[in-house]
Amino acid sequence: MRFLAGRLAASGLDVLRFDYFGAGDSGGETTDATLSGWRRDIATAMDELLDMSQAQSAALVGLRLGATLAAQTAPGLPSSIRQIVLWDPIRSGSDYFAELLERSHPPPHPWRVAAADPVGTLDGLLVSPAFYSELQALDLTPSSIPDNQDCLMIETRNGDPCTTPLSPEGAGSPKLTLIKPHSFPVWIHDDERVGTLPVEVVGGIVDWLQ
Amino acid sequence: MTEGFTERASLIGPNASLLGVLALPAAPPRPERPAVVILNTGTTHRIGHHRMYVDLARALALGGHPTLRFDFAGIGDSAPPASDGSPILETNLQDLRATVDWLIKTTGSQGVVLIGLCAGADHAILFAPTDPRVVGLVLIDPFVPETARFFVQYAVRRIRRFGLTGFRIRRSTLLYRVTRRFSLRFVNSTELQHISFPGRNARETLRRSYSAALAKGDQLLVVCTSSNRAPRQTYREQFLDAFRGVPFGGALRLEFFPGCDHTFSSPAERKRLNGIALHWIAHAAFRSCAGVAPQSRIDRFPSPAAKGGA
Repeated sequence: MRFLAGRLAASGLDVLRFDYFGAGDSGGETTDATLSGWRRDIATAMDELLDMSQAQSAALVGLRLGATLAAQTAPGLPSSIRQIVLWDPIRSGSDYFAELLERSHPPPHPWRVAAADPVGTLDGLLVSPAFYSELQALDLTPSSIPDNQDCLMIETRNGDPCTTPLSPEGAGSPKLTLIKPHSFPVWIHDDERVGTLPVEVVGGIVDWLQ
Repeated sequence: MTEGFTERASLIGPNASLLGVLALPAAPPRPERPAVVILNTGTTHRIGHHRMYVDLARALALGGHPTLRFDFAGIGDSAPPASDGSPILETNLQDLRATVDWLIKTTGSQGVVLIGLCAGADHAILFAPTDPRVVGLVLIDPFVPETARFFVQYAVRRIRRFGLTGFRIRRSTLLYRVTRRFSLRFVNSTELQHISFPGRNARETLRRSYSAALAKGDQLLVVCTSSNRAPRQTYREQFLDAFRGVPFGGALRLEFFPGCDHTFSSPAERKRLNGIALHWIAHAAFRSCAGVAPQSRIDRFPSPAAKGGA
């Protein structure tokens, strides 16, 4: 996302990246984070960007869970938010939840989780029951795609249950552009792909936003 | 501002190209308490695995220690390194020098403790002997050469887990490690290399670095984990056995986390680590280095070993 932000800034756009409450450099603990709170964070960030840049219009770009939250937040955003980019949005929260549990190496012993992690562990982070519930309840359908903004949908991981393509129904919308680049899933790190960048996807986003 | 500390992002270095986040105690500054720098773990940015460095930095600030998390050039939000052909290790150590300069100047602290995991620990121990303002090191899973006992315990662990019939010759990490060590020692007659110490004899480089850091009075907290599929350590004393002859004495506190993996994916293990680090930094006998002038450049690396070094 830093690479994308740099490319967008180089093309003349003001760009804001931010961390959700309880994530990254932002304040708060993961145990106090909720998806509904993260959706409000998106709205706050958009307000901040418009205020700082004095731009007349803005776009929203989200990757994976961020894309899902962006799609859910977009309908309530001001009309100045005219474009939205959904990069491999999570469609099924329960499948994503299972993927995160599987990704834990090694998976935590049940007794240890019960004894030391009363809140709940997800991919090495403590999260609240509310977060668990909200995540598992996520369900992005073609009708969830915002129709009041131009939308660019990027699908690089066909076959993944978490990101099963929302097309072809969604692709029928006149405001939706769907691209399926020959890229790799950027959120997966392995020895072969370390250090590589999804140049094609980033270039596609920059071109589309222009 | 969060209760008890503040945080601010800053651009650091001669070209303001390095991004750091400084957590400052809300209480009035106490220069006698060392400031802390947390180094990147490999290519992972300043947040650390499972956000472990955010929690640690904030806890240290609450404990009265200004604490900086920053990104080396080319990592996280820092600008790429200058393309002047300098080796990445050298560039990183120069970044660290600039970061310590900035932290001392900004906070008025009289000494600095470096904290690093894996490659971050390797950078810290290489840097410490070159800077008199460094008074202590928290080295989490630094590179520790394998010992004979390591291999025995590794094999026992594998057999216990999979049994003799479950041992896979193909793609066996244990077999690879044994073969590599045998080859280095008896076939190629070369010394142990490691990615953090390119072109150097890793064991000798570290032995000299530890000795030099101890000679200038640095305090050491070394934390080793052992629960990876291919562990770096299999027993607590491996660190001491690997660096036999280094006069650690009372300057070393050694902690072993047998049930913990390399990235501390367990919140309970991270909490234990933070508790140990906080207690150690609050109570270690750090020397005073008020008024010590920094060196202008890194020029006191332990010289490479005669055989196998560069």
